Amino acid sequence: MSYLKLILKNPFRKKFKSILTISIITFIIVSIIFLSSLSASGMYTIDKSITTGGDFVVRANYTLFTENEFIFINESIVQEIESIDGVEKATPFKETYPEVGGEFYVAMDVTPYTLDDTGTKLIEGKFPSKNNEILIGKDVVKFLNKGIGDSIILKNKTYIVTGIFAGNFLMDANIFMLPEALNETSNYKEDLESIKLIVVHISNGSNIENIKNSVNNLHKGKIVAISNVNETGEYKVIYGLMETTANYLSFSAIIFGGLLVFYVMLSSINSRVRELGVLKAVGWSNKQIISMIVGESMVMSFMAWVIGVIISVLLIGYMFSTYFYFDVIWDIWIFLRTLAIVIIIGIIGCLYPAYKSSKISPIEALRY
Amino acid sequence: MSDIITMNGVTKTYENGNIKAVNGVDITIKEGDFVSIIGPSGSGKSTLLNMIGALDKPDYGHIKVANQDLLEGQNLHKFRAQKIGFIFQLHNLIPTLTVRENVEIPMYSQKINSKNMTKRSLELLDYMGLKNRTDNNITKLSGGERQRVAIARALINKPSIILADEPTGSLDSENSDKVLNLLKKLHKEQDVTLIIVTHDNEVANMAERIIKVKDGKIEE
Repeated sequence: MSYLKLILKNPFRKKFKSILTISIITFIIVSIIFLSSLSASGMYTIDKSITTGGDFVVRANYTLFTENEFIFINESIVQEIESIDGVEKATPFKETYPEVGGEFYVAMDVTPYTLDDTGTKLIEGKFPSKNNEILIGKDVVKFLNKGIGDSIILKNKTYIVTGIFAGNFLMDANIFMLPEALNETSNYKEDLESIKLIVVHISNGSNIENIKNSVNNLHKGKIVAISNVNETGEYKVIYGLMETTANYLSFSAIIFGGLLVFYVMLSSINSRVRELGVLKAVGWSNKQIISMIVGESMVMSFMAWVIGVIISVLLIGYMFSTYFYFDVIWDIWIFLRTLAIVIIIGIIGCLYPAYKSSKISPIEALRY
Repeated sequence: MSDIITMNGVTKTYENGNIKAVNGVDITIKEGDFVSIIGPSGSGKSTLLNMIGALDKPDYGHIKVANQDLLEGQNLHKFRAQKIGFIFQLHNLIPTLTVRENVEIPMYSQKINSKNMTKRSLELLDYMGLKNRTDNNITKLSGGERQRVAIARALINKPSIILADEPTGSLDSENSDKVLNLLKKLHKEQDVTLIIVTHDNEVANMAERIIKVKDGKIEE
């Protein structure tokens, strides 16, 4: 029998305790991997989509919104942006938020000439030609179970779906309609008075950061140029919160998991004092006994990691595509981080038990 | 034959010197001898055996075993692994391992490869009459069979000295006879120095030489 086989057998002498410990550590590992992957995949997917069809987008700086101040972006701002050196085109979009089936959707004014600026393409059907016709994104098809030819009621008016678009994560849950049609879907007059999104294209060779700075300096920072997810407020907060939770879980895992492994290992040592005495009597050195104890601790921790990774991969693969519609990002560092966590847990858990086992007197142990 | 064990003025005390488990003992044992150490309970015979096996150190005196000065030795675990084979009264086998795995335990300290380990352990178990039980868990064996496994474990590293502390103490008479006959056979065929500690006169009389111990002193 190899030494490895001996180390693999020993942790499961106290089956219930060992399985419980492995299960708890596995659960923590799954949570950390899931949250971190959700954060990474979410950030990636949104980052890929945030500029829609342009080089960057411009929105009102929501952090400056107050009860008395609503930031309006009007046509003159669009012209100011277009006049910045290096800007080729700035396409404005208005938005309303009609309710359908108890949920609020984003409706945007889109023409055949501005569809590309949304970062999407028509994948089925045709573009609306009348004010009672709309396009819906592929996610709206799933949410409302509607298709081409079906009708959707927005603000008590019936609209016919003439086409389906797709291509941008942030847009695929929206509704597109002709500009004149959008007016009738508004709940608040402010919705239509302000442009909500400006998609900006820059000319080749232009410095995007300089142009964005120029935009940000217009109107004392009331509008903000965004080309990546870190420049957003809300998404950054949400995914930052997930990452913070994952970090907190990592720290807790080390403490809690370490204590659990410590308890199981100490319990194991105490139940085989005589056996350890025999090992010393037949010629095992303290170093060999310590390495056996450390090995057993690592077996438990590593097993929890392997099971945790397998469960995480299956869970992420299923949930991200079914519920979040994210691109799944497999970041090796997320898995390596959890591997480091279980190694630390294994070491913390076995330090004292290993020390104690090395100090056992063979004579006293044999009388135990 | 040369001396394999020499003890001069060996004393072992407990309770801050109030109890003398072994008191000024001088013993010489030659290589290949079969010796029994007999005495009543608490006479110090197991303490003597533990000191010969480098499991314990005397407070006074000098011990040399197989050319190893036990008071100056650093890595006594290596000495035990290479030179000593222990047989305990309660066999002390590991219950979660099989027969073969228990026999192989002392070999890990010698860093022998897995293939050679298996070969040697199977040879020994065949010698012990346990060829068909090698993959059985220890808990499925009788008392006599377990003690035979313990003997195989003691022999696996080809030690010079076998130390048996009451090897038949927990066996019935039939199994005791089997174990003792096996030990006698081993002594002859494997050419080891065999020292048995016992409180049983019948067992002691099987040896070529008897050392009597009482109150920590030799009454030879």
